[in-house]
Amino acid sequence: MNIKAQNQKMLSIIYQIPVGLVQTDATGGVQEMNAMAIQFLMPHFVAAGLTGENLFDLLRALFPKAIEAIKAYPKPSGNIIQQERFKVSQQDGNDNASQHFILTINRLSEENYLFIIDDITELYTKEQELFQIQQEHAVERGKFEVISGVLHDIGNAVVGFGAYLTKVKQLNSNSDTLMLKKLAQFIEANQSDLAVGIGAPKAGAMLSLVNALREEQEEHLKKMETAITDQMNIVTHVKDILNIQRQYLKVDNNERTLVSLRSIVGDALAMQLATLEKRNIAIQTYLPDGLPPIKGDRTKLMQVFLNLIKNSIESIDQKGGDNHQLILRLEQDQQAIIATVQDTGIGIPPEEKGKLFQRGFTTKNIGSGLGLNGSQSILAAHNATIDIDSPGAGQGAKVTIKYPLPKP
Amino acid sequence: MHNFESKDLHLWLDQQSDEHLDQLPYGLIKMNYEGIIQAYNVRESSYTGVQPAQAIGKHFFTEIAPCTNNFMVAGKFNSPEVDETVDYIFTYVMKPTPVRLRLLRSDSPFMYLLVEKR
Repeated sequence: MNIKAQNQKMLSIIYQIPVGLVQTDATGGVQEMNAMAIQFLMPHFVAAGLTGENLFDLLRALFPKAIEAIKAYPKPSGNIIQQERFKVSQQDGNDNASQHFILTINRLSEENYLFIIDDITELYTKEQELFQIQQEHAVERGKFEVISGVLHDIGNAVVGFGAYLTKVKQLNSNSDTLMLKKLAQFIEANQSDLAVGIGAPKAGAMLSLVNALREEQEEHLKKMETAITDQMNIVTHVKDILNIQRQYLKVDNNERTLVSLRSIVGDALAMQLATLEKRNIAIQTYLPDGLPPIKGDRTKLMQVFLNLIKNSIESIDQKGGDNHQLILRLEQDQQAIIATVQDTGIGIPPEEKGKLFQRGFTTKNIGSGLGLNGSQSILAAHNATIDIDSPGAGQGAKVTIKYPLPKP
Repeated sequence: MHNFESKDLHLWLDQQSDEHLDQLPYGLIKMNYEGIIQAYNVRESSYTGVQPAQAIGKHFFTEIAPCTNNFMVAGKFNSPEVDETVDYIFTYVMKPTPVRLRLLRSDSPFMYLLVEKR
């Protein structure tokens, strides 16, 4: 290949490269221009009512700072602008339709300038999306820190309250009943002497009175002790819940680790235990040891099971009546780990079955919580499926979640 | 006689052989709806330096004339009906040349881009 042919080939390559190149004379008259420069700039020449023969005219309209920099540049050659960004807004002011460019201007000689221009609209949009995600993460992190702080403070208060209850219990055990018991024994031992002094009927009445006082005091003490024990159990329960919550707060958003479904279902149940007991809902669990762990986001899976248990409670509330049951089961077949949450609540009429996983669908008066649509999204991100089965309205429902086992 | 501005030119162009297209006094690129070049006439070749044999079978907007790959030219061909004339700039490799383009797409199996120097 001779030198002319080589130059021609090189020009063809420059013509096709995916960055806009324009060479102008000292007054901005376009001398050479590659394909990408025309692709980027021609619509703007036309929009500005220009013929496309002078680049300075276009820059005066789109990016006047470039013209100022060219005018102020003192050297006969060198870099005038290095990769500066500028935005070209649409005339209708629609910011989403704006184009973003990056421009480098080199003075090649006193007679020539080289403009290197690229359309970075897509990059800019991605940067903005990334920035938005980072902002949202920062807000989420901030929320986690606040919640973590609040949980810590509540935890401290609960521990203090528990310690105080223990002290009250100890104080109670040193109560007056012991003194009353000793007094009764003393009166009984000295019954005959007292009878001489105040008469036998009065001495007998005194003994009966002291014994009655002692019994009443003992009964009262027993009730107090039961109440304190109950309160200490509640405090222990609150501490357990706080510990579970803290544990889930420690996990970063979207973090995938090996997690035990047994532990997650157990934690979700523990957090709703008081609510279930208050409603006398019988709980049956079949959560066997030894199921393989799955890879997943512990916090999000916890949200799913909490939501399902809450749904069951609300469904039982809506049905009303007694003898309700909640059954939580984990089992494994050859393909999957299967989790089921079954209740004896209001059930699902056949005509509503198809709508259950639609976004925004609720059977509740006040929509709350994650919703089945949200649960389905979380589970789909774990390659898991969720199905709901119900024999019909008023006959309870059974939610089945299947996590496929990794193929050996 | 048909010329650059004739009405329903695409219907007439559909009937012409490649040899006839080579005799036209303006540049012409015949494409299918995907933008793949079916014919690239001698006049267009003389403007751009691209040989017809190099151009046929290639995607016009990305492989042969990326300078047209914007909403002003390529984007217009996305509509089912186009008959529009625009002033534009083509480059023979790097030399800018003002041209007038006519974009044609209608009830024909082909799309046409006509090029006339201004």
